[in-house]
Amino acid sequence: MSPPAACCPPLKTVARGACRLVLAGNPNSGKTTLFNALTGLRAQTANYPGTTVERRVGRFKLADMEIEVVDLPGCYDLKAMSEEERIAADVITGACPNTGRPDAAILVVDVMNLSRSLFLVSQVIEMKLPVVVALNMMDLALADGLRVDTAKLARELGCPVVPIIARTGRGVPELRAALQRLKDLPTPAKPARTCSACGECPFKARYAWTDSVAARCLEHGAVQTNPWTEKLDRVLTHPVIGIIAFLSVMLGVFFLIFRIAHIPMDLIDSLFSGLGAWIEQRMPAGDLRSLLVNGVVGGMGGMLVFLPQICILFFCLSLLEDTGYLARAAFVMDRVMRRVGLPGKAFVPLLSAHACAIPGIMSTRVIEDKRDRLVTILVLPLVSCSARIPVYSMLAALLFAHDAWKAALVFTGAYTLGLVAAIVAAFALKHSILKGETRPLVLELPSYKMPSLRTAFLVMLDRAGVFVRKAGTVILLISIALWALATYPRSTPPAEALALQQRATSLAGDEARDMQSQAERLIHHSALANSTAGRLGHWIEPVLRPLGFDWQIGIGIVSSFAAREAVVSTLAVVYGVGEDAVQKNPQSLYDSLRRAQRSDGSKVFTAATCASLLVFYVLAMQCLATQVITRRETNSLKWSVFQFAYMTVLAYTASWIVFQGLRALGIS
Amino acid sequence: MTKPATASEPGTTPASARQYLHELPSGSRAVVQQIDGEDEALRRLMAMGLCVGREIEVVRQGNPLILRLLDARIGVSGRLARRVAVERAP
Repeated sequence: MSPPAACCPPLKTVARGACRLVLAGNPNSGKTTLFNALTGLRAQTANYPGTTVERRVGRFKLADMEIEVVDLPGCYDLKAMSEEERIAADVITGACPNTGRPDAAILVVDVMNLSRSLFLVSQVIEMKLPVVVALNMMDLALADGLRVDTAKLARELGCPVVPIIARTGRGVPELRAALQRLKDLPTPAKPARTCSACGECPFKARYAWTDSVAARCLEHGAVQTNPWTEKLDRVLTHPVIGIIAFLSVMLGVFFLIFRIAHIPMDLIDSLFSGLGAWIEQRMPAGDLRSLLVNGVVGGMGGMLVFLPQICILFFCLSLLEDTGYLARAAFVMDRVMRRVGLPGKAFVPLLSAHACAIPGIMSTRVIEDKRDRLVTILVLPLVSCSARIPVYSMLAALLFAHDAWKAALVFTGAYTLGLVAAIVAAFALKHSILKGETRPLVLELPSYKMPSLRTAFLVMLDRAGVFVRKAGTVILLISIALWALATYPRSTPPAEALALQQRATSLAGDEARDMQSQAERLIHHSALANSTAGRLGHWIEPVLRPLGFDWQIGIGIVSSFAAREAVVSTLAVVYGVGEDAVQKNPQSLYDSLRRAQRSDGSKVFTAATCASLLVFYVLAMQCLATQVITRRETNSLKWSVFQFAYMTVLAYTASWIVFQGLRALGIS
Repeated sequence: MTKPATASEPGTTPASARQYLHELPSGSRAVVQQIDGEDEALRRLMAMGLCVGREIEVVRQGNPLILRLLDARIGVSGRLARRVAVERAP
């Protein structure tokens, strides 16, 4: 077997004196746990250049040497065709750009699955790289009465073998010691093959060798596979009970997200509005203050407010994955999702997107097939996220003010529409531009075990870091741009407002305060109406008229491109209620929206307009943060643009049908 | 259609009496006789240890089914299972 062809010469980029290691192993072998045990917080995540495969790099000190470790994607076979496995092979041979050939490899081997793990070990050894085998899950082996002759295994493989328990950190000091001695060791000899001529199947020859090595080095006691796993699996992989169990687990995760996330979210919210108020007191009024308060501070708050949901979701997902449960969830959901053309693993992102599309899109990395993953990312923002709730509340109140049941129906309808639209869109994409069979399921169901809080915590920090670094800056810039749209060009305050302010100065008490705030509302209204955003609202009105929207709703739509929930406060300003009303007295906002009139004297928010606006907000792509994340996760601006385009067309068409249909039925 | 990538072992079940993985009942054991085709998913299954001559156990039949392969439980789509010819072990 020849090594894979190098795509380019290796580049040396690492600092002088530093040693470069790669960490390889099967999925579920405890590779990432060992990576965390070795490097702790000193790890960074980026993508391999030109791909969406994540590259985790960490550092640690060994004696006085700086060691850099790359956590390779988990794989079974270096000669496989999948992107992850190709990258793993390229990194080991030094063919991957920007990395250079590693100095040595740590191979994490699940002792409970020795023969299979040795398959990968033998492939790496053949690449003529110094290797240390970390024999993991020794605690499980002990519990199962499985004895391993590590000295014999080391002789068979021709490399050091160190028994470890990655989860507790047992054996890690010995592993470090073995790495330190590694420099003096020769590259292991190519493992002897017991069978070299048994035909076309390259797997069979290698497996004959691994089976024989495993047989020589293992001593089975009374083989007793984890009884818990068998018992739990009987329930959790059941075609019906398994799905119910999965939905209950996800419901629990959502409950946590909705219940707990709003505490830090409110905190972030009040912190940043407090900061804004503080700046307003300290600085003289002017463009700079407005930029700082509404653009920078508001933008940062608007970006960081996503963090609690991202953190909680990834913390929970990491715990679920670590226990081994997530593999079962993908297994039971595969039956359902396959009908749509998506793999079972797509269900977790689809459900997560109900909290927020951003962590949903970030969690699509579990989907192996590139095309399946892309389809999932493209349809995720159709699912109703929590940012739509304020919009739904407003429209439900406008449609059915005094009927809680009908208002609840509006919510249910909106959520159902979102989910159905996502499923239909996935089906349509899989049968048109992203045609192709769903990759058939091949998924290891690892033994259940206690999850590691440390790993969950590190995963959470890692995801939060990725979001802030990669999306944060762009979201901030966009917030500033939208601020500029809503602020410039400046207009002179209306004469009416100035007159009110004049009169207020000569009065005192409540009356004066009322006049002042009335004047402020008028000023805000006219500033927004005359700004670029306001002009855009006027400009797009002809396009929006068939949907039943006027130019003021147009301003709301333009300004809610940063975040959907912004439409509520924008409408409050354009309809002259004042931003404060949204929090203090939403009823006053709803009342004045209900009274709002078009230039011809007819009502703006008729039932048909409300229904049309609701459908528009369910289906339209109005979240730049999501667009930024789509751009990062697909590694291409093209898909981000496509997502925006198809969702906008879909939303426009559906709203048009709803508005015109209701009007034709005489409902307006 | 894809051609069989692996020839069947001589002296085993005649092709007419051959069973496929998706036809075995839950809890039964069998020895792999032949694997039809070699695409990415099938290759992964082979890299996980599914090769001719290997004894396997069907833990739970269905689509997808659960297979015990080399001490690991593996969920396998029915689409792949119908391409794995086996001989039932007693």
